[in-house]
Amino acid sequence: MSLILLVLLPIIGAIIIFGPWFPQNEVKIRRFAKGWAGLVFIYSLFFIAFFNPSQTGFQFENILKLPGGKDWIAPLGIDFAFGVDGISITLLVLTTFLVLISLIASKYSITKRHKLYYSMIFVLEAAILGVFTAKDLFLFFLFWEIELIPMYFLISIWGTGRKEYSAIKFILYTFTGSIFMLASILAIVFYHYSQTGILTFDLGVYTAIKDYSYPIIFSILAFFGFFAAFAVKLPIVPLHTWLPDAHVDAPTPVSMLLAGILLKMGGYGLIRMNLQILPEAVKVLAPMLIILGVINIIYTACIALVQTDLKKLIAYSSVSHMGIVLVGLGALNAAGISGAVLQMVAHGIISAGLFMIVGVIYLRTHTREIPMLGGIGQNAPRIMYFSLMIVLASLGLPLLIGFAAETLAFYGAFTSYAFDGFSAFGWYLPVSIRILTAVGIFGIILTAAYLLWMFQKVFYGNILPRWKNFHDATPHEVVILLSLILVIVVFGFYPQGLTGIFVPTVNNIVNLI
Amino acid sequence: MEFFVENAGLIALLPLWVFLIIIFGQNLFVYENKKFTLWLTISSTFIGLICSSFILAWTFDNTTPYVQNFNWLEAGNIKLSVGIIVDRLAAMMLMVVTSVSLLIQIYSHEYMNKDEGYHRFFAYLNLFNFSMLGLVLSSNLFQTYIFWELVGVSSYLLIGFWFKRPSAAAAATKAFIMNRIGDCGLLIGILMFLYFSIGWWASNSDIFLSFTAMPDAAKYVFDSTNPFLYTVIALLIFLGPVAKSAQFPLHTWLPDAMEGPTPISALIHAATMVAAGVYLIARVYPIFELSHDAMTVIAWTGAITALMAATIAITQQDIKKALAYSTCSQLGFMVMAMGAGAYTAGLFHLMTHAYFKAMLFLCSGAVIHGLNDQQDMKYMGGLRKHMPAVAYTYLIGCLAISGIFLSGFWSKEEIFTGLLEHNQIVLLVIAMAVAGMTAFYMFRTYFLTFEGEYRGHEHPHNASKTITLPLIILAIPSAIIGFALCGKFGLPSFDAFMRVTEETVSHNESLLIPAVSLIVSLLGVGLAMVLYVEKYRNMLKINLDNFIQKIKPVYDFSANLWYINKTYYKFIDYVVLPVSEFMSAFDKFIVDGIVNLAALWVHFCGWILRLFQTGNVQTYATILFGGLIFLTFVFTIYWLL
Repeated sequence: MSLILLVLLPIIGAIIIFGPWFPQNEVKIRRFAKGWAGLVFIYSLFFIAFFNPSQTGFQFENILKLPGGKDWIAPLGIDFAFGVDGISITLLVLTTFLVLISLIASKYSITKRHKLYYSMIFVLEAAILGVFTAKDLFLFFLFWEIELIPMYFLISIWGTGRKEYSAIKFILYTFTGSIFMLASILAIVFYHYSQTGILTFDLGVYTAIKDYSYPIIFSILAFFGFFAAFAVKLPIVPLHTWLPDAHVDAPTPVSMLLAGILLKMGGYGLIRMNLQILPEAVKVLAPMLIILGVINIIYTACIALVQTDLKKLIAYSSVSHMGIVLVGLGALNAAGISGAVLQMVAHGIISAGLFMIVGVIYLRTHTREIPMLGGIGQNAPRIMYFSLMIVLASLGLPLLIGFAAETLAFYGAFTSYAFDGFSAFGWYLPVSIRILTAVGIFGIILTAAYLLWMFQKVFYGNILPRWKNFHDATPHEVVILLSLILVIVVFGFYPQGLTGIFVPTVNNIVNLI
Repeated sequence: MEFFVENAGLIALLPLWVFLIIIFGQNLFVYENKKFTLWLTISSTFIGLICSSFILAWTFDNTTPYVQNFNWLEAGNIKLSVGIIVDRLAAMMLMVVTSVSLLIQIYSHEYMNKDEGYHRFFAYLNLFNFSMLGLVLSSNLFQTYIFWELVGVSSYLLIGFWFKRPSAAAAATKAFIMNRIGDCGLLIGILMFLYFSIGWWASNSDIFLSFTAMPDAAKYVFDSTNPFLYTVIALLIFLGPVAKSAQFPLHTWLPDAMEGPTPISALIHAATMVAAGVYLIARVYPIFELSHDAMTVIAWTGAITALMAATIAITQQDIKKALAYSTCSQLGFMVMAMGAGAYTAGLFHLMTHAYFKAMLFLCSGAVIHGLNDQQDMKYMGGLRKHMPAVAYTYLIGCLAISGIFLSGFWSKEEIFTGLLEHNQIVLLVIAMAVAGMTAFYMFRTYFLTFEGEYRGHEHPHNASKTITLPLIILAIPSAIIGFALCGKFGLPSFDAFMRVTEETVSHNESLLIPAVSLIVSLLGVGLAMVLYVEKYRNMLKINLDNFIQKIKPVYDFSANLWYINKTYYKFIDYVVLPVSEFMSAFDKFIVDGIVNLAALWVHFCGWILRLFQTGNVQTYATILFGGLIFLTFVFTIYWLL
C-alpha cells in the first residue's frame, strides 16, 4: 500500500510501452495499456478498501527519502511526500477509473502514433494522481505543471480542427494561472519561515493550523494567487474560454479525461489550498465564490442553449455544472462542501459519458452539428437509451448521481451562516446570497432545456436519409457506456456510499474554518 | 393486516423489479413472448391492488399513520430520508392508482399489441407505476420531490413513446421543461421551508420534512417568519402542483401530451399523475392552511384554470384535445376546492374524476383504434351503431363528469357546498358556470362522435373484448362511487373518512345547491343537443356555421387556446433565444476576444522586436550609430538650453 507506487505505476507503464522493446503492433499496445490501467485501477481500489473515513488528517502517508535518510530537497524543506484524505481518495479512484474507461474508448478515435499516445495518457495519469496525492506544496505544484505537457501533445497531435491553437491556448492559460499559485505558495512558506524559523513545504503543517492566521491583507492576496490557478482550471467565467476550444479540438478520450478529471483539479485545489490553508480569507471572500458560481451556472447555460456544435454544447454545460461546485464551496458548511465534492465526482462520470456519446456519433457521421443530425434513435436504440440515461443524470434527475450533489450544494448555500458575519452589509448580504442561490437553482430549468432539446434534435424524429447506415453501439461502446451508467445509477440510489468516504474529512475542514 | 401495512413499500418496488426484468429480458434476448411481459405487469399491479385493499381496510380502524424511514443522505446538518407513510390519504390514492393502472394495463395489451414497442411500453408503464406509488407512499416532502421528478420522466418517456413523430418528440420535451419550471419552484420552496425550520427539525424530529410533523413545523415557520415571506414559501411549493396538475399558466403541456398513446393519456394525463399535484396540496395542506393569501391564490388559480380550460374545450375538434382540456378544467375544480378550504371535497372529486376520466379516455382510444387512428371529430359520428358498448360507457362518463346524478354529481355537489360554506360566492358562481360548460362540451363530443350520421371514410370496426372489458368495469365506479360514498346510503362517508380533524361540520342540507347544479348541467346538455344533434338543429332551423360566424372573435379566441401557447413560443423565439445568442456572441467576441487580443498584443510586440533581430552586423551598427547621434543631439540641445 504505497502511494508512491501508485503514482509510479503509470509512469512504468508509459516506459514499457514507449521503449523500443515493445512491439509496434497497435492491438498489442492497446491491450497492454488497458490491462495496465486496469491494474492501476484495482490497486487504487485497495486504498479505498483500507481507508478509514473516521480518521482525520492524511492517511497512507508515504515519504521517499534519498539514500542516507535525507529529505528530497532538504535545504528547502521540500519532501517527496504523499498522503490522502477522504476527498483526495475519492478523486483518486475517479481518476484511475476514468483513465481506464477512456483507454477503452481510444480504440476508434486514435488512429496514429499509438505508442506515443498511450504513454502520454499514462504520464497524464501519473501527473493527475500526483496532484491528488501530493502532501507537499512544491510537489503539488510540480505535478500540476507536469500534467500540462502530455495534455499539450494529446490535443495537438491527435486532435481535430484548430488543434494547435487550442493546445497552446490551454497551456498558456493554465500556465499563466499557475505562476500566481507559485507566488502564493512561496509567500505562505516564507511567511511561515519568518514567523517560526522552520522552512517547510509540508501541506500537513499548513492545513492543520487552526489558530495560526496570516494578516488579512496577506491572506487575501495569497488567496487570489491560488484562486487564479484554480479559476482557470475549474473554470470560472470569464476565464473559461480555453475550455470550449480545447474540448472541441481534443479527441474523444482526451475530452473525457479533460472534463472528467482535469477540471476537478481546480475544485480540489480550491478546497485544499484556499479553504484549508487560508480560512480567514475564505470567510471574507465566500460571497464572491457564490456569486461567481451562480454566474457560471446561468451564463454558460444560456450560451449552451444556442450552441449548434454538440461538443461545444457539452463543454459549456461542463462550465455550468462546475458552477454548482463553486456555489457549494462558497457555502462553507458541511452540506455545501460535500455537495461540491459529490458534484465533482458526478460531473466526472457524467461528462465523460456525454463526451463518449458525442464521440460515438462523430465516429459514424463525421459531424457534430446538431442541425445535421436527427432521428438517430431509430437506427440506434441502444445508443439512444444510454444517452438518455446520461442526459437525465446530467440534468439532475433524482436517483441518478447528479441529483444528490446538486441538492446538497444548493441546500448548503441556502442555509449557510457564512455570510451572517458581514456586519458591514447588515442583513442585505445573507438575503441577497439566498436570492442568488435561488437564481442558481433556475439553472436546472435551463439545463433541462438545452439537454433535452439537443437530445430531441439528435435522436428523435424521423431519421435523415443520409444516416440510413448509422449502426448501433458496438460491444466496446456498450461496455464503456454501461459501466459509466452503472456508477451513475448505483451512487444515485445510494449516495451514502460516496459521501460516507469524504463527509468526515469535510466536517473536519469545516471545523477548522 | 399489519403485514401489508409494514411492507407497503413493496407495492411500489414490485413494478420496479418488473421494469428491470423486462428491460434486461428484452435486451439480453431472454424471452420474446408478449404474454410474459403482460402477466408480469398485471400480476405486479394486481398484487399491489390486493395489498392496497388490505391497507385501506387497516386505515378504517387506525387513525394514526404508520411511518417507516431509512436514512438516505447525510451531510453536516442535513439529514434526508426515504420511507413510507400509510394513512387514509395514501390508502385512498393507492387504491385509485392500482385499480386504474390494472384496468389500463389489460386494455393496453390489445391497444398496443401490433406496436413494435410493446415490451418497451410495458416497461415504461411499470416505471411509471413505481414512481407514482413511491410518490403516494412518500413519508416526507423531500422524498416526494424525488418521485415527483420520476413521474415526470416516466411521463416524458411515454409522451415521446412514438419518438419518430416530431410532434410527439416536441411534446415530450415541452412537458418535461414545463414541469421543470414547477419543480424548480418546488425545490426552492422546500429549501426555504427547510432553512426556516432547520432548528425545529434538529430538535424535534429525526425525519426532516416528514409529513406527520408538518403541522407543527409549519406553525414554527409561520411564527418565525413574516407573513409575506411565508406566503412566498407556500406559493413556491404550490408552483410544483401548478405545473404537474396543469394549472394556468403552466398548463400548455397537457394538451400536447396527448401525442402519447391513448392508454397513457388515460392513466397518466387524466387519472393519476396530473392528480398528484392535488395530492401534494393535500399532503402539505398544513403549510397552505396557515397563509390566507396563499389559499386565495390557490383557489383563484384553480378557478381561472377551470374556466379557461372549459372555454377552450368547447371548440376543440380533436377528441383527445377536448378531453385534455376537460381534464385541465376538472383539475382546476379540485385545486379551487382545496384553496377554498373544501379539502375533502377536492379529494373526493380527485377520486371520482380518476375513474370517469380514465374511462372517457379509454373510450376515445377505442374509437380512435376502431377508426385507424382518426382523432378528428369531423370524421366521426353515428358510431353508436358500430360500437355500442363504447358508446354507452362514454355516455355514462359524460353523465358522470357533467354532474347528472352519477359520481361527478356528488363530488361536485360537495365542492359547491364547500365553496358556499367558506363564503366564496364568486368562486361558486364561476364553478357553476364551468359545470354548465362542462356538460355542454362533453355532450358535444358525445353527439359529434356517437350520434348522427357517420362522416368519416374508414370503415369503423368494433372494439374487442379486452378493450371493452376495462371500460365496463370502469363504468361501475364512475356511476356509483359518488352516491356510495356520500354518506347517505349506509356506507361510510368519504368526507368523514378523509377529514383530518375530528370536528363535525354542520352540513348544509338544503337541496338548493344540488338542484341548481343539476339544472345548470341539464341546460348545458340541452344546448349541446340543440346545436349538435341534427334532428333538433333542423327543428329549430339553426345553422351551426352561421352561428359560429356570428361569434367569430370569441370562437377564435377559444380555438386558439387563448393565445397562451403562441405567446410562450414568441417569448422563447424573441426573448430567450436572442438573449442567449447575444450572450454566446458576447462570450465569443468580447470575453474570448480580450484573451486573443492579449495574445495578439504579445505577438505584435514580438514582431516589432523581431525586426531588430536581423543578425546583420551592419544593421546593428547603423542603429547603434543612429542612437549615438540622436543622444548627442538631445544632450547638445539640453546643454545649450
